[in-house]
Amino acid sequence: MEKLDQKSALNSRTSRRSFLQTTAVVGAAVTAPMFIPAKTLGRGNATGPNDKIILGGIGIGGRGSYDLKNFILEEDVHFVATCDPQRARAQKVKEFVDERYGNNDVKVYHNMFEFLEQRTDVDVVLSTTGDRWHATAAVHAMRAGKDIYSEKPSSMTVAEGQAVVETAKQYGRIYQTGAQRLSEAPFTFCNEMLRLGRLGEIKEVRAHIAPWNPAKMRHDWLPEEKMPAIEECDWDHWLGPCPWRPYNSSYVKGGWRGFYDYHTSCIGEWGAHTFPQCQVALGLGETSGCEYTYVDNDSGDQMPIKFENGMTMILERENIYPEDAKLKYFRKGGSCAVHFLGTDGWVACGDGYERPDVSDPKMLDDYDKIVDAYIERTGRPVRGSMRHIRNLLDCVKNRKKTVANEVVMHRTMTTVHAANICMWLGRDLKFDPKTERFVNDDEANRYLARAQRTPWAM
Amino acid sequence: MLEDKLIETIQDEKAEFFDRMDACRQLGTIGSKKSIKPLASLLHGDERLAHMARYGLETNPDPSVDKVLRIAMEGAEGRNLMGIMLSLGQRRDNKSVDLIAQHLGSQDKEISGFAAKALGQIGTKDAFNALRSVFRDGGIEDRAGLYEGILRCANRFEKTDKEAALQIYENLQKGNAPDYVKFGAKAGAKRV
Repeated sequence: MEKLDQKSALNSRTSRRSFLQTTAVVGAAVTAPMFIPAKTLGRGNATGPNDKIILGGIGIGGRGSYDLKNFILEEDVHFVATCDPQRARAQKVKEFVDERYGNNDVKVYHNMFEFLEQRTDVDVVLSTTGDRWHATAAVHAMRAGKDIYSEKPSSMTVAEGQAVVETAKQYGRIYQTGAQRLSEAPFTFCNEMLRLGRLGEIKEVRAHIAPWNPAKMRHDWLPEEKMPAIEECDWDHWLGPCPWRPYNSSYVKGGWRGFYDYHTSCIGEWGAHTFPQCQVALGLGETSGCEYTYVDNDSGDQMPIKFENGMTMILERENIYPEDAKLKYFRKGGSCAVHFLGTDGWVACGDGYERPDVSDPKMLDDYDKIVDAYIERTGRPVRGSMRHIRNLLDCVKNRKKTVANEVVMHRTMTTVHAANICMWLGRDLKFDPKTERFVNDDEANRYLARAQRTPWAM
Repeated sequence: MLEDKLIETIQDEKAEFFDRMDACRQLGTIGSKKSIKPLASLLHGDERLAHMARYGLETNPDPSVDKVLRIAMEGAEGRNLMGIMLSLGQRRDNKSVDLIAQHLGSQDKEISGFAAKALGQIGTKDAFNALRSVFRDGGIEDRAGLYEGILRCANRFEKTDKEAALQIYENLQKGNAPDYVKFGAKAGAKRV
């Protein structure tokens, strides 16, 4: 029988002092937990050779497969299990990894709770479910003692983001959200240009939002279709913490985008990337926008979002596709782009830019030097493909914060959520980043959380 | 008035199911005090509607929501009971501690787990004492849920009573908790 006697300890100040003295003497070895593989802790049946980081997956589909391929390219990773309420997807993951490892060892689970409870050997979970599950799966995984790589957008509401932050803190877990451009050299160069003051005083930043889906969300249901066998697709599990609705195969094939219960609109679709890119570049990665100005269009295009230090970020829905391309700040074809304008020049970067666009080509003379200095200063890798995953794995071992850690995720996603709420309500909003509440707007505050459905709720 | 129409819809058993569900959702952002009892009347029935009733109630700042949720605990079962406890936890209703604590000993692991997590979310001394009593007795099906509740309380105490938080973290490290709980407790002890 265990003891958890609060009263005796509360009356024993000597005991507390002794504890503090002891920890002070023993020092960092006691107070700073380091990575110890699950199998070393005796938490389960070891399957990974040579103390590798044992990886499991939840909801691995299209994007998740890309992440998974990059994970298993890392020599210190061993993938052991996958979980998905859709049998075919889980089987596909198993076949892919088994073929690579030359064995038949990957285990398949269809229930997340069973997976997390049974696989005590798993150190890190790769969660690439649909958006509706991101925060909830991350919280459940961290409560089971796992570190996590969670695809973006990593929360559906401000309350979900808060829960992720609290849970990571509570269990001492390492968290990385899939804002991978924070680990790419061209974007890093732009951020460093701001940090080093090479652009002078920053006047304006622009963040790309997706050129599809409006900001206003659908609340309707697609027509009911015959429910597949639970072995094929566990619909209740797929819905998870969201409100029930009748089955339609379109949802499980990716047609969930644009629906309020499952998506965070065109603003969240790319803002989950570009907001952290902008906010981290500005040194505002641990706060959120405080003033949101409503714009009378479908998407939030040109919405100015002001921060407490007076900086303004403008949402830019430039169409990157040829038919009706509207491009002023970004290149055609360069998704998730950002543009930083200062008194001494500008830089811009998007997907596919080998080097950023700059107001003066001389700015690029120091490109390699600046990128290398960033790597040296932070220890974070940015050269090569998907170094974002390497950053997580390094942090799993050294227990330092990742570049897109839970606080950066939550604060930048809060900016996304507040911008959406501004568009849904059709009025200007003020948000207090300290209280994490809208100022004098009770109705807006009621959008900060949604009651989750049991038993999937966090 | 929109709210009156929405209330009428949720009470109309012949209305389209979608309309009743969506009316609950809308009441979650615009519902006033008068929407509370009609929504509460759905908490014991169909699980899908009961969830949406919570969706309509949980974000309503009117304090009488807590009272109707406490009343609804009586006779609630299964997922509906878990959901009501969850909502009371989200609203941090200390008056519901005794009611929720009654379910810590449930033979249903999910119910005992939600009870523990709700108490952790409430995070008061009363809630912690309820969790501590089953911690001593070992009388809970969902041990992981219990640890979550206790760690959440300690996390809350970090702001209000650091000494209490530290004591919890110390004891968790000494006991038979799983390694990942001890890991979190060690990190917590370091913080305070």
